[in-house]
Parts: sequence; structure tokens; C-alpha cells
Amino acid sequence: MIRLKNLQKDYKDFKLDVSMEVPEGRVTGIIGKNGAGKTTTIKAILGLIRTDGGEIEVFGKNPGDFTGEDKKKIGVALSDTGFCSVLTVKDVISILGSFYEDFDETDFKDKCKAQSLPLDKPLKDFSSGMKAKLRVLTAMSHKASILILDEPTAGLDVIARNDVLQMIRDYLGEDQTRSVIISSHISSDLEGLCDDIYMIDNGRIILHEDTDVLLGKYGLVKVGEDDYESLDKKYIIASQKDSYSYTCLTSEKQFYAENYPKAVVENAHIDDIIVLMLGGNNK
Amino acid sequence: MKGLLVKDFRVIMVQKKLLILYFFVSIMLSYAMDTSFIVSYFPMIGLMLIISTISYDNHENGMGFLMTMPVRPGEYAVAKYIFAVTGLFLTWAFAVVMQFISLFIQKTPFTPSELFMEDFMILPIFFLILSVMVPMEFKYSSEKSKIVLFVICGIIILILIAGKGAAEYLSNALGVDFEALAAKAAGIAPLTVIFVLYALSVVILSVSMVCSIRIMQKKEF
Repeated sequence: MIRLKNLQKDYKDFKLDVSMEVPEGRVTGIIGKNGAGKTTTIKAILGLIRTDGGEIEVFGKNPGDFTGEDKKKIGVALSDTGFCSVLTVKDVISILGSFYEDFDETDFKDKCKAQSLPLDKPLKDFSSGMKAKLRVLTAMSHKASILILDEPTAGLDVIARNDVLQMIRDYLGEDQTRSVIISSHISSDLEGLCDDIYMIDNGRIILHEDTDVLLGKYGLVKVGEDDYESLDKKYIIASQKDSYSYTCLTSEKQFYAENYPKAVVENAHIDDIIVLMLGGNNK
Repeated sequence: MKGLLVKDFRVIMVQKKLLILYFFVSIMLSYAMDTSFIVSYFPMIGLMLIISTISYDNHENGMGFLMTMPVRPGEYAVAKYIFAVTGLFLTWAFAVVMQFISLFIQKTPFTPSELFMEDFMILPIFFLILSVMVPMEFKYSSEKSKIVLFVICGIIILILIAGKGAAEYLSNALGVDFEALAAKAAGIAPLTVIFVLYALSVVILSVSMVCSIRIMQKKEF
């Protein structure tokens, strides 16, 4: 569905160079620090910025050649932007109905009601959570084949975050062929939702792995300074020196659990992986 | 494109209280002042509201979000011109009706054909302002575009002053009779003048729209 090959975008003090692929029916997460290049990648996929090199294909087309019909297949929620804040949900309904033939007004109103979104209140008076929910509902309002969600849960409390994630799961449940690209810097959001995750840092993909593999095979190996020297490092991706020990990220935790009885081997969460990948000494 | 027009209409309707206020102010002004004032005043308000829809679109990077809707940047520009020209025409037509009603109520004698001619000459001025302002708003932010517009107005005033100076020089030094030329111009049939003005408006609006389309196509969101 989406294919990026060495996509490049140069800014004065930032250079993006990423390759990625999102097949049909997959949920792909992009995770990274603020300013890592997540939004730039998403904007390039949507054709909102010009690129300086590489290839982008969305439904087999370059985003620059998108027609209105192509855009109808994509549902988008961008972070911190949406419909003009003086409008109400009623206005939004009227606008979406004029843009999309597949817009289902009754369903949209029901979903707004379920999320306690008032129809007559100006959007500027909405809370952050309400705005985020409306953005995601808007993206899902016209039965798009792919959802592109940039930081849909940023700045939300845990309840609102769960609501947004559940809305996405429900949408995917309606049609197994739908795909999602979701960017976030909150790893727990992606762990329970994504089939695979791209980790981006400083404009480059530093890790791409299926979520099952990340959570099942990746792990943390904690060893003392002496044991660290003798540790076989062929499956160590990154390591970080603590006060009297080393914490190592491995892609084969079973290997170290079986062969190094003195080492403490723990499951790794995506946050641990990020901290070691971005903060540790990469091997 | 229909979605964009609906969006603009909805944004304007958010300001309906302001519109109602302007409506009553216009009624009062049409009685208190020369009735022709309202024909300039009401389209001016309409133009300001129309231009404000671009500022609303730009607010909080909303333009980027709009470009994810099923619309291309060039179509956005075209939709804005359709909305603006239609809006200007409707506010002008409303003002003309108000003017006639006011004249009837005040029992002021007037020649409808002459009044129509005067009213028809006002609309191209707004088309000209629109042709300058829309690409400015697309190219620059709302604040910057106002500065650029101010600079353009300054340049126009300087050109007029220079033109006047040049005319005086031509008149004195070369003996060109501008009064005779003006009298000759006044002799041109009003319908011809209106036709020329509207033809020019179409040309200027078209050039402006092409510029706006290019600005939007080159823009990053």
C-alpha cells in the first residue's frame, strides 16, 4: 500500500532519509523522540511537502499525482491541527458530507455521542482529549483504506488515550484489509496496537521489527563489569554502563538466559529498547 | 471543491452576529448618508469576511489538514475565487437592493439607469482589491500580507503623485491639453466604460487566480 525508498528531505539542520513499507492489512508504528522525523515522514507520504530524493508510492502513485479520488482512500489525523476552531461538530459534519460520498452522518453522530463530543460547541472550547477524538473520528469517517495518524494520543490522559486506541482497533475490526500508520513517542500505545514498528532517530530508521519479535525475543541482559568483558556480544545491539554493571539490549534473550546463568535476563519493553538504542553505545 | 465552499460558508456563518450588526449599520447609514455609500460599504464588509476565511484556514496549520482532504492545492485556490466573486456579487446586489428601497422610502427622485451605471462601476474596484489580496494571503501570513498590501498602496500613491507631476510637466512643457482629453473621455458611452471595466476585471482576476494556483502548488504545508 505504501512504499518509501530512500525518501529524502533536507532542511537546514535536519536531513531525513528513510525507507519503509506498509502492506495491506497491517498496522505500522513509527516511534521516535520529538524531532526525530516522524511528522516529516508522514507529511511526505501525504504529499504535503516536496521531497529532495528517493521514491514514495502510495497505492502505486506518487503523492504529488494524487487526485481527489485517491485522497478519499486515506483518512488523516495530524497532530495539533484540524478543522478551524470556530466551527462546531455540526459544521464538520456538513463539510465532511460535502467532501466524501461514503460519509455516514448517522454513524458519525453516534460515535460523537459515544465519545461525549457535543455537536453545537465550537471546537476551540473542546478539551485536548475531545479534539484528539474528533480528529481520529474524522479520519475514520469515510471508510478509508488506510489511516495515517500522527501522534493521535499526544498530550492525552490515560483514559482518553485508551479511548482513542480502542476507536482505532474498532475501525480495523470492521475490515481486515485496512492499514494504519501511526506515529507516537508513547511506546505503550504502539505495543498493543502495531504489527510492526519502525524506530526513527535523527531522520534515519534505526530499527524495524515485528512487535511480536520485539517483545518476544528482545531482552535486557544485566551483567557485572567483569562478566561484561567475557560476554559473547554477537546478539548485543546496544549496551549502557551503569554504576557497577552493564545493561545490554539483545535480540536473542534466550541465548543469554541459557548460556550466562550469572546474567540477569529480562523482557524488554519498547521504552527500554528506545533508551538503549538512542542512549546506549550502539554496537 | 463543494466541501471547500461549504467550509467557507460555515466559517462566514459563524460570524453571523457580526453580519447582522453590519446589516443594521448599513440600514442606518443608507438613511443617514448618501444612499450610494452602502453600495461601497457592504461589499467592503463582504470582502473582509471572505478574506478572513483564508486566515481561518491558515490558523494552527489548518491548511495542511485541509490539503489532506480530497482536494488539490490548485483546486483550493480556484474554490476561494469562486467563493469570493460570488460573495462579492451577492453583497453588492444586496446593497443595491437596499439602496433602491431606501430611495423609494425617502421618496428621493432618481434615474434608475444612471444609478445602476454608478453601482456597476463599483464592483470592479472590489474585484481589483480581491485580485491583489488573495494571492498575498496565500503567499504570506495574514499579518505579513497586510504589510505587503500597505507597501503596494504606498507605491500606487507614489505612482499617482508622479503621474500627476508628469501630467503637469507634459501640459506645461509640451502643451498637452488634459482637460480636453478628460472631456473626450466623459463623452464615451457609460455602457462601453462598464464593458471595458468588467472585461479588465475578468483579465485581472484570471491573472490573479493563475498566480494563486501557482503559489498554492509550490507551497509546503
